[in-house]
Amino acid sequence: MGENWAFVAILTVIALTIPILGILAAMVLAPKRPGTIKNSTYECGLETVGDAWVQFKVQYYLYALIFVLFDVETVFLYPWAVAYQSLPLLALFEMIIFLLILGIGLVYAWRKGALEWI
Amino acid sequence: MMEMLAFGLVAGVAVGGAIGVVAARNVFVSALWLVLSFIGVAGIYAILGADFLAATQVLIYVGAISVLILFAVMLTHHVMGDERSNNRQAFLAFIVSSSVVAALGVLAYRTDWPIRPADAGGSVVTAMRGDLAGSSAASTAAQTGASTALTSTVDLALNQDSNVVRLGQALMTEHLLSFEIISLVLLVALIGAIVIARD
Amino acid sequence: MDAIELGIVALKCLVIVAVLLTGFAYTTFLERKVIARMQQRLGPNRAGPFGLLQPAADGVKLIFKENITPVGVDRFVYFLAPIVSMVVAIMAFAVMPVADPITVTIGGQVREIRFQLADFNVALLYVLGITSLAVYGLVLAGWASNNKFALIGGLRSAAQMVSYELAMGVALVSVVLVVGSLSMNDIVDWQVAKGLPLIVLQPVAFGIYAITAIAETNRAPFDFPEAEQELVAGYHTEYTGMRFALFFMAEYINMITVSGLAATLFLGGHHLPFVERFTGNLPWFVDIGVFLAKVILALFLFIWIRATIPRLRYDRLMAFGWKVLLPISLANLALTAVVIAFLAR
Repeated sequence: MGENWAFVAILTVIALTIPILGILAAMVLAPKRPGTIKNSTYECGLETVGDAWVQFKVQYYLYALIFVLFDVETVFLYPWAVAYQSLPLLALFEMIIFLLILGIGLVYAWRKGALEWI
Repeated sequence: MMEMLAFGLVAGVAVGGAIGVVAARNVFVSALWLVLSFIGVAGIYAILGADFLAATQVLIYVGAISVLILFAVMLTHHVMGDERSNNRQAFLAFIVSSSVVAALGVLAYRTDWPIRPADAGGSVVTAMRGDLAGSSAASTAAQTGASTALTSTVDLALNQDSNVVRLGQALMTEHLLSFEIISLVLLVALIGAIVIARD
Repeated sequence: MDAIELGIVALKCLVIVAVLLTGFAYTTFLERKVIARMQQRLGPNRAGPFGLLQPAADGVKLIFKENITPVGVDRFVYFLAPIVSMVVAIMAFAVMPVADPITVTIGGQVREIRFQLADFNVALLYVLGITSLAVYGLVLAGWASNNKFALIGGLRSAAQMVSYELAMGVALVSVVLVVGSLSMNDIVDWQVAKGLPLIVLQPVAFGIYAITAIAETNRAPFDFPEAEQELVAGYHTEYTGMRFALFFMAEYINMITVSGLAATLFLGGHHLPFVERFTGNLPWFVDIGVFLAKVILALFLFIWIRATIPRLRYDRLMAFGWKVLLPISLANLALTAVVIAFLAR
């Protein structure tokens, strides 16, 4: 089993060289004529206004947070699904309870408007 | 031999990433080093033969929790530019974190680790625990609910020899109570997060 | 693992990378031709016969384009982002079985050659884990570019990808539930043994997988990086030449990977589940052809959808992921569990 990871490691090394080679080749081959205007940040042809940093909505964070919680839940679903056919019928109800508790969470988030994009 | 070499490599990635977290001058870059450290930890799981755990480590810690941390950093800090991440609390933080490391070290040293009969040395397992503790201490921003849930699977996967079927069976039989409690913990974390973010 | 085996593995890796890059080049060609035909145009037809050399011409052009590095970028992260995108895109393909294993004799030794790089027990989780890393390419590019459009585009695409990843993960659990394994080969073998592809048993899961796959690869109608009216070019606004091309490649390689995954999980992989009842097991080169045909079919669907459906509004997109796809996939999972509990026992 362990050798599979070694194969993946070899693929990673090869996969890393491709984009690096690409960037290096372009560095050597492509023309370089920098200029102040050309190298300025793109903002639809206007002078850039202020920082690139703008205040983000907390919404992005909320989505990511709910995502983490449900992702953890999904990970627990996988071993259950694999073992399901070798388990007694009780496993069905156990998982339905698990899903119901998390379903409450989803309904709560929904009702509280955490899933709204405002 | 090959195993030790591979272990050295991934442990180096994990520790190097952890050092990067502390040393980076920009919070965003710190978070990126943390990602590297998590990947190193996944590599250690892979070497230990815990395939499920390795995949889960990538899926949850690298693919979800780190994204959450990056979002948090982007929401709260000025996105570009260096800023010092240490302040007046640095000394206090040093004391707290070094005592945590010491406590975990003593714990790891004294515990009688179940070692697989074949080749995996005890030192590898101990080092793995150390790294795990180190990286989770570094990610205080990570969800407490999620970390609790995951540390409980660590024990399972080591005992059950990473067999996903047996992991599922164990979750559904002897660890059923903790399994259902996990869903409650996740629910509480979800509600808490929404309440805090809304107010 | 001896030297010959190491050589075989290295060769496999090189073949994977070469095939993915060629596949990328000709997927762009296919896309331009198909969309052109759907819009009553001819598409590229100048370079070579039927324009077949167009991808090569594009590649040469992109290498010789000037690379503009705008002021104020975080140089390290700026270069890291396209590399991360590419590596992640290539690595996800590692677990895909392309044909049945064959045995050959090399230097007097009989060896089994698998047309698959890594045969994990947890292959499905491996793919999900690796594809969940694709979000970093976007976030890093958006952050490092020092550009408002890039930053907002990166954040939006990231939020979109994590939202749809969830529905995809839950939808695939019902596939695992039916088969009882996370291994790609087990899933393919199961479909062959039962004589029917999983799309028949799990049409809802397939539908959700197809929709989320489009969103995960940032393709139309979920292509916010290219929502030029609002975000210019999203996270790759400040990328030019080869560095832009790397993002472009990553997008198409991801398309190929999710198509391959759709073929493996839902369409019987490199086998023809129903047909092989009558013909028996087909030789390995037919297997490769079958797999390729299924992938091209899925890619054609991608392109067809792009030519047909207009882009969603962002709030609709998020609402669709969370309020439609996730509940449906959870319901599908519960239904599948109940049906299996009362049928298979």
